[in-house]
Order: sequence, then C-alpha cells, then structure tokens
Amino acid sequence: MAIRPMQAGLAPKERRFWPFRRLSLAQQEEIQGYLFLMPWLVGLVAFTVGPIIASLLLSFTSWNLVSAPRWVGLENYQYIFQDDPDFIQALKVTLRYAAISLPLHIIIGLALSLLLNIKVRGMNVYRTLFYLPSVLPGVATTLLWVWIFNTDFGIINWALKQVGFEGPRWFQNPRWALNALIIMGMWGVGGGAVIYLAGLQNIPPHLYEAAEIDGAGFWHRFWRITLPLLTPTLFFNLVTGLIGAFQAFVSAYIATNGGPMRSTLFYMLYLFQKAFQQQWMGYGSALAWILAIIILVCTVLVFKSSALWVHYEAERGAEVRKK
Amino acid sequence: MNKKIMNRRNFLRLAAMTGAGAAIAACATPTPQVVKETVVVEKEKVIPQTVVVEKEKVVQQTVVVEKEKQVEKVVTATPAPAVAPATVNFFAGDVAENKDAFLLTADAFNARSDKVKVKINLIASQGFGAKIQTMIAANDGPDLWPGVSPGEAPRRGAHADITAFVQRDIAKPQEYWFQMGIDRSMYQGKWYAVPKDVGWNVIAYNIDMYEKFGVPLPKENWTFDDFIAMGKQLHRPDEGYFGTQFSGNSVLLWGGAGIPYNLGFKMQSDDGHTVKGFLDTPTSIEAIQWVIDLQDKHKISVSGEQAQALGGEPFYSGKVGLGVAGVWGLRDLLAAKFKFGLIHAPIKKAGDTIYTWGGAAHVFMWSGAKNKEANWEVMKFWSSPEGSKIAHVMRVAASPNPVVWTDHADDKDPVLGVFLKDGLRPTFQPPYEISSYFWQCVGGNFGDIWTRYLELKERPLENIAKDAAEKAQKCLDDNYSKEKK
Amino acid sequence: MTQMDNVVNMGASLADTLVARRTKSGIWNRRTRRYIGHAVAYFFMTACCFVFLIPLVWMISTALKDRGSIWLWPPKWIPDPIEWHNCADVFNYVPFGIYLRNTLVIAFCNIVGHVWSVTLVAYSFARLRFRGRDFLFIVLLATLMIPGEVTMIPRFIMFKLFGWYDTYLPLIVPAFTGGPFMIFLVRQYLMTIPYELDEAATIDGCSRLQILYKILFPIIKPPVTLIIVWTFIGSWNDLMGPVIYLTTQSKYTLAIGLTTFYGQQPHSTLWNLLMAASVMSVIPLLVIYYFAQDYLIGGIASVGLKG
Repeated sequence: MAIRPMQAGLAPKERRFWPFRRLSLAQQEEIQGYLFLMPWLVGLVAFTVGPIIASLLLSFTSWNLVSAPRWVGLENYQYIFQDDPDFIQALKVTLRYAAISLPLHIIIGLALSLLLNIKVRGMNVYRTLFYLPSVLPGVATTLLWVWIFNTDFGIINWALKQVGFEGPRWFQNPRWALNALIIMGMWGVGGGAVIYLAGLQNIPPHLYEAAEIDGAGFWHRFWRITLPLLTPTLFFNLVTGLIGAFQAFVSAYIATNGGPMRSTLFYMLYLFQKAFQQQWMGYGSALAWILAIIILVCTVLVFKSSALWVHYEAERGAEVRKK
Repeated sequence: MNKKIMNRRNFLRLAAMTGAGAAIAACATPTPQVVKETVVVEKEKVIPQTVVVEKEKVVQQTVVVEKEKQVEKVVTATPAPAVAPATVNFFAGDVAENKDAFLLTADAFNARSDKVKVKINLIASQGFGAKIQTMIAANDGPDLWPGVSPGEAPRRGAHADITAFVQRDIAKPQEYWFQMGIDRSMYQGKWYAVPKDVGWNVIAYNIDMYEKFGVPLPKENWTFDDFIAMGKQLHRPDEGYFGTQFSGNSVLLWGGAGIPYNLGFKMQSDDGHTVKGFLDTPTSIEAIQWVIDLQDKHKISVSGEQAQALGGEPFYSGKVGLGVAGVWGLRDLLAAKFKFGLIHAPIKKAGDTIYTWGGAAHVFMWSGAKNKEANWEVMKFWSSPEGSKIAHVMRVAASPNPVVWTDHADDKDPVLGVFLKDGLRPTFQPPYEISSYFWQCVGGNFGDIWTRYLELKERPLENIAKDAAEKAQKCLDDNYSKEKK
Repeated sequence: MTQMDNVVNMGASLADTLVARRTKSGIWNRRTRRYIGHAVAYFFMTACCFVFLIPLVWMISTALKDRGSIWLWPPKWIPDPIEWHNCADVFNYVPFGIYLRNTLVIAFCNIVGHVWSVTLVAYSFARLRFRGRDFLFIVLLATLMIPGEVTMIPRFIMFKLFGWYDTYLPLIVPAFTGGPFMIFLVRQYLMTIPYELDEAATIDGCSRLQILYKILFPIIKPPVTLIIVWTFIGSWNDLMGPVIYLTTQSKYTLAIGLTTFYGQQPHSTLWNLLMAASVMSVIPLLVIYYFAQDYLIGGIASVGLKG
C-alpha cells in the first residue's frame, strides 16, 4: 500500500535520493507483508510480550501475590517434576480429556454443520438453537447439567432406564465423572459447527453439480469434494480445539472441583488452585509454562502434518524467491 | 436507583460544604441522615474520580481549619477521635440482597463522621476476590474490603495488624461480639479483622411432614437416637418425602449444624497443620461411620446427588423432614411455604454439652493503606451495634453484637430466638477456615472416604480413614515445608 | 446426546443412500428424494433441539417463579403463580440502561477494531510472502498457549502504568491489534480462495489494499460475520475484563450487572431474578445471531450441499 505512491512518485531525477533503487516485486511484497502485519506486531510488542515475559520470570520465583517475588531459580520446575504427584495426575486427566473429546467434537461438529447447511425453510431457527449453548452464561448452565446427570432424578439416567440400563452415579464415581464432563462439553458442539458452516460456504457449487451429473452419491461427494475442500477449516478447528481442550476447566471447577478421587483434576484447574487459591503464583506460572510448551509441541506437530492432509487452494511458500 | 451513586452524593455534599462554608457544614453534620435520601442525580454523567479528590483537597485546605472551633460541641455528641480528614475506599461486593444495607451503613457513617468519609466501591461479586488480589499484587489495594475468615492468610502480609486499635477502643471484646466473630478475626493472637456479621446453622424440621406422618416434634436435649428414629418414620421415598438431608462428607465439613461437634468429631489440630491423630481417632471414625450409615444403613437421607437435585438447601424443597437452616438464609427460610420449627443439633445423651456451628464475615484493612486511623474509624463503625444493626433489621446479615439482638427483642422472636440461643453456645472454628491448604490436602482426601466406601465398596472404614489421614498429612507437610524454603 | 448425533448422521446418510439406490432404478425422481432427505433431517434436528432447549426452558421457568417455589420438588416446569413482575424487578437493582449503553460502546469499538485488524493481518499471513512469516504465525498461536490466568496480574500492572486503569482503553485498544483465533480463522479461509483472483486484480492495477477490500472482502463475508458475532458475544458476556479494569460504577457493563444477583453464599443468590436478567440479556444475542446467518450462509456458494 504505502509502497505504491512512493514508487509512483519516484521521478527519474529523484532516484538518486532513494537508496534502494530497484525494489524487486518480491522485495515490495516483503515490505508490504510486514506493513499489513503491523496492527498485530504493535499489539504483540505493546500488550502481549511484556506480561508473557513477566510470567516466565515469575515462574523462577516464589511469589505469594503480596510481598516481593523471591528468586528461586529452577526450584519450582524441579519440585513439579520430582515431588508433585498432582502434576502427573492433572496431566493424565487433561490428556485423556483431549484425546476423547477432541475427535468427538471434530466429527460431530462436522456432521451437524452438514445438516445445518441444508437449505430448507426454518433452518435459521435450528441454527440459532444449536448455537444457543455458546451464548448462555456458563455457571448457570453447568449447575443445570449437574442436575441432568443426577443419579436418581436426572434426565440421562431416566432415559437409560427406559431402555433397560442402570445409569451410573456420574459425579460420585471416579470412573464416570470425567465422562460426564466430556458429554457436558459436547453440548457446545454448535460453536464448532458454525465454523464448518462458514467453511462450507466457500466450496464452489459447480463442483457438486458436476458430481451429481456424474451420478456421485452422498458419500462420494462428501469424501471427494466436501472433506478435501473443508480441510483448512478442519485444521483450524483441530488446532483451536487442541488449545481449548488443554485449557478446559470451568465445568470441572463448578461441577466436581477435581473430585472424586482427583479423577477430574484438569491441569488448568490444578494451576488455578495453586496460583490463586493457594497464592503460589510463581509455582502456578511454572505450571503454565510447562502446559504452554506441551501445547506448542502438539501444535507444531499438527502444523508439520498439515502438508500431508490440508488442501489449500492458494498456498504460497513463505520464502521470497530471489530473482 | 439512586443508591448507585454514592460517590456522587459524597461529591455533592462536599461541594455544598465548600460552597456554603464551614459553619453550615459543621451544623449539618450531626443531623441524622434519612436513609432513603432521594438525590436526583441519576441523569448526571460520570464525574471522574479525580474531580472528587480535588474537591476533597479543597475541603481539607479551606474548610477544616476554620471548622475546628465550632465543631467542638458537636464532637461531644458524636465522639470522633482526633483523626486527619480522609476518604476511605471500601470495596464491597455488588450483591443485590446486601448492597442496600451496605450503602445505608455508609450513609449512616458519613452522617455522623465529620472528617472521615467512606466511599463504597461496588464490585461484581463474581470476580471480587480476583480483583482484590490483583489490586493488592499491584500494590494498590483497597483501604477496606469484606470477606470471610482470613484463617492463615494474614501471614502473607496483605492484612493490616489492627491489634493496637482494638485494644484501645474495644474494652471487652468478649461481651461486644459473638465468640465466633472474635475467633476468626485473630491469627496467632493478633487482630487482623473485625466481624461484620455472623451466621450459624441450626436443625430445621418440617412441621407439616411431622403432622402428616404423626411423628412427635423434637424437643430440647433430643438425642441422636431420637434423630434416627424420626428420620425412619419420616422417610418415604416412594411418596417423595425424605427423612433427613444429611448425607456425604459435607455433614462433617460444613453442612451439619452442630452435629459434628456433638458427635465429638475433630478433624485436625487447632492450627490446622496436623490431621494425623485427629481424623483417624476411634471417635472420629465412629462419627464418619454414623454419617455414612444415615444413607447406607438406615437409609433415611437424600443421597448427595439428590441433595443437589433438590436445590441449594434441600430443606427448602418442603420434602425433607430434618434439615438445616442458617442465619444467612433467613430470607429463604421466612419465604418457605410450609410450617417449620428450629432446634439445636442432637446430642449423644442428655446432659452433654451442646455445640453450635457457625462462621462470620469480616472487614479487613490493607496493610499498605495510608490513613490507618481513618480506616479504623470506618471498620469500627461497621462492627459496632450502631452500624451493624442496619443490616440486621433488614434481615440481610445478622449483627455480630449480641446487644443488637436483645435491643430488638429478637430473643423473644420464635425464629430468631432459637437462633440467638444457639449462637451463644460454644463452638469451634470450622476446619476449612484455618489452613490455606485445607481444600487441596484435607478436603479432597476426606471426601474420598465416602467415594471409596460407597462407590468402590472398600472396607473396613478404619483403613480408609487412616489412609486418608496419611495422605492429607503428607500433602500438608509437603506444602508447608516448600513454603518455608 | 453423543449417540443422538451419531444417529442423526447415520439416519441422514442411510436415507440418502436408500433414496439414491431407488433413483437409479428410476422409481423416485430427484425431487421426491430431496423431500424425504429433508423430512429425515427435520425429524432428527427437532429431536436434538429438545436437548439444546432444556436449559433455556429451565431458565425461563425459574425466571418466572417466586422465591419459595424455586427449589420445590418435583420441579414445576410451569410456575404457579407466574411472577411476571420478576422481569421488571430486575431493573430495581441495577441501572441496566447505563450498563447497556456502556456495553454497546465497548462492543462496537471491539467489532470495528477486530474487523479492521484481523482482515489486514490475516491477509498478510495468507497471501503475502515474507521472511519469518511461518515463524511469526506460530508466535501468533503461541501467545494463546500461555493461560490468561498467569498473565492477568502483569497485564493489570502494565495497563495501570499506562494510566489506563478505570478507563475503557484496556477493554478496547487490544481489539485493534487483532485476535489470534480470528486471524487464524480468516487466514484459513483466505487460503481456500484461488490466488489467480489477486493476480488478475494486480494486472488490472489494483493495490494490495484494494484487492483485500474490493475483491476478497465480499468473499470472506462468512468468517467476517463470525468475527462480528464472536466479538459481540464476547464483549457482551466478558466479566473478568470489566471487573478487573473498572471501578467506577457508572462505567460498568451488563455482565457485571448480572452478577449482582449472585450471592456471596449460595443462599443469597436470587435465582429467579438472576435467570430473568440472564434470559433478557441472552435474547439480543440470539436475535443478532439469527439475522447474522444471512451473511454467514451465502458467500460464493449460495447453493447448498444437496442443492
């Protein structure tokens, strides 16, 4: 943008004052790339980097939020890895939650979005209703879910009874509590479906028309057209879902507070307990950085794998080709 | 809506003072403020905080000096100690039920106090704790804020030590406040808070149900055997009625009125650092067994999950014969749609000491606050009969001063009379109010006893309890030793 | 619910394959086939909707109850008596008029900020080539990986140093620097649009900005709509931001107003008023989402999957 007028204004006689006489197209693009990035780069430097570095430094201190932080070096990390049994438990719970709920979210969200994409009358109402859970205040609805999962009075166990099953004592039993939270989380699947829905809008309709003329059935169209062209959106939902699953804790905080027998001690819940309830902010920061690195490694792996399965219509390598 | 604009009202008053001069201001001060003052300022735009402060400075410089002489006779009427003029920032939870009382108490203080003014900042109740913590961490804490018992928190240094003030101004704390308000204000023999209101639970029974099933009502000095017998007669799950609401570990933690103490249950040492040797004594294990039996052997209780389904406090569903009712839930209790009675927690045998269970809410001062003397004035007022009676008569918070109760003939009241009698009984500090690591170390392991016994069918109870005590103790030791380093 | 969704999926595809087979044998024509597919879809979606509606029904029911019957067992789904005045009483406790205005100001600024910054940054990440791009993109995502809980206090101290405490700036200005999730979303979307479009436009003499706003912007309407909806809902429901950064009551937002009905103990929570206020505050969001769909569903593919 800013480059163009500059270029245009470069009358031949002025050229000598312009040190970079010949900006190749690639170089222009490079400068423009950073210019367009400016809003984010400014924000990164001004608002984001400072607090993040502060939290990194705090992770090497002992800080009770009142008196000045005391430098303890690697002690927090050492304690976490050597002496903290809850750290391993919290990590296990979170990994299990992510491993089960992430694929479910991706698949069911996709299925739901295909349904919601059908153009029929009244679909607007359905779309709104399925999005409802993403809009409702979290605390009140979690309390409601506690009631839905109630052993004796809850709807779920009532429904199971109708088909001849004895429902478990969801939140009382360490084997079932995490599953209950996973099911609870599925309620928000409409939020992901909406993103697929946006992605579906970008698939050129003529592809379907051509396929239909060829007599391709639903599955064929789905595997050959919809899914490949939706992979960028799928990739988005995978990465954001990954980050979200690792950081989940609100429902556990309200419904179980980590119990029974630490079966729902989510990593973030544990972090929250340490950093705020016990005011070990330095320790909490160390936990946060360990979590961040785990997520980062997973994300980078997903990114590396994306070359194999994500189909971009317009992918351009980052490096500018030198001419 | 006019209650929202405290700072505006202060500002107007201060502006008026500057304008009208010292004499008027001094005369106006002792006039008791009418509580429902309707200042028409809703429509006005925000006046930035700074303006208010500036005006105050003006007041300080120009007005106060002249005022000294004239104020003297007023001072005899409302004894205000020699204190520099100041505005005290009191951060309080923006809670629908309590905020009117809070603002009216502030009005009452400002009406009687000449130099010190209190300014209430209403903060969302959800996130209140995080906000206060953040402000203190940023070294800009509020002058005063309310909260529940600080436990060991004063060791971190955020709470101001107010021992000198209390010793100077409160002659006999034991007579001035309920015992449960005093215990929780202190840490290692020093004062870090004053009680703002107190609350405790008694046993409530549903008279409609007793009459329906022809069960005689409980009488003073009733025993645990009576309790179980009544529960069995009242428990008719097929008809949708439940004998008692007592189930799960919460009975021994916080939901059982005086039951845990009457059972002789003691979870931990007084400083909260030792569990082993308390939680796993034969008496304690017996108490745990008694609570488990309510739902496992006698089957006279709603299950823990049923309790949740029945709402916050199952007793209010009208389907539970024996439940708890608290001073803090007074409004719910008075709104109940069935006849109820209140009584102390059952005891082992007639003649045993009857205990009560309760807690208190407090006012804290930030250790970094500038004008401690002025802050103390406000704190003292909030905790005095004069200040605490405002919320008390509105039934949103119970006064921590027994004198307020007797002044208002609450001891003759059929509901409050029972509460008052119970509130004066001996009590202990609830276990979770002491150690900072209680919930992480003790609470969880203690709750797991129920899971392991009822869900995983582990036996015997003694081993489970010993194991829980072992784990809790290790966790406490680890945390305290890491803290010391 | 999991199973139910699977059933929907299976049911729909089963119907589809069955119908497809019949079509080949020429018994049913394409239109009949489509009608049946729609009927099946309607059926399963209506069934699912019940699950999704329960909380709203429960909220509305509680909102219209008096204090004594909130916890009655078995629950009364239809309150008796119906306390319509709860909806009016809500306004006695909180100056919702002022709070609404403040919320709308914040939401509007955030929407403007996000749409402006996110499209620019996403365009750069998706379509321009420069050294360090892929690394910076990972940095963008990495900023999401540090939980906000541990950066909250440093952030507060930082904004306080800026002199932004008790102003709207900490709640607004960051929006103008883009939200990482949103940048990611728009970047993904842009990468599905053929680059030939840009090249053609360049040949026609368009600058990069013109390409972005004249050529690409109409195509990326669905994700931009999502950004607007997300930002609006986010500002509307954001509690911690306003609580931490604001202390003057006349600057408060709706989310703060709602918490007035929570008690410091569960007992003093006014559930009926809380639900009345929550339902009322959710309605505008649903209305906005309902109408935003016209922009969400559309874009270049205005004909649907089965069309």
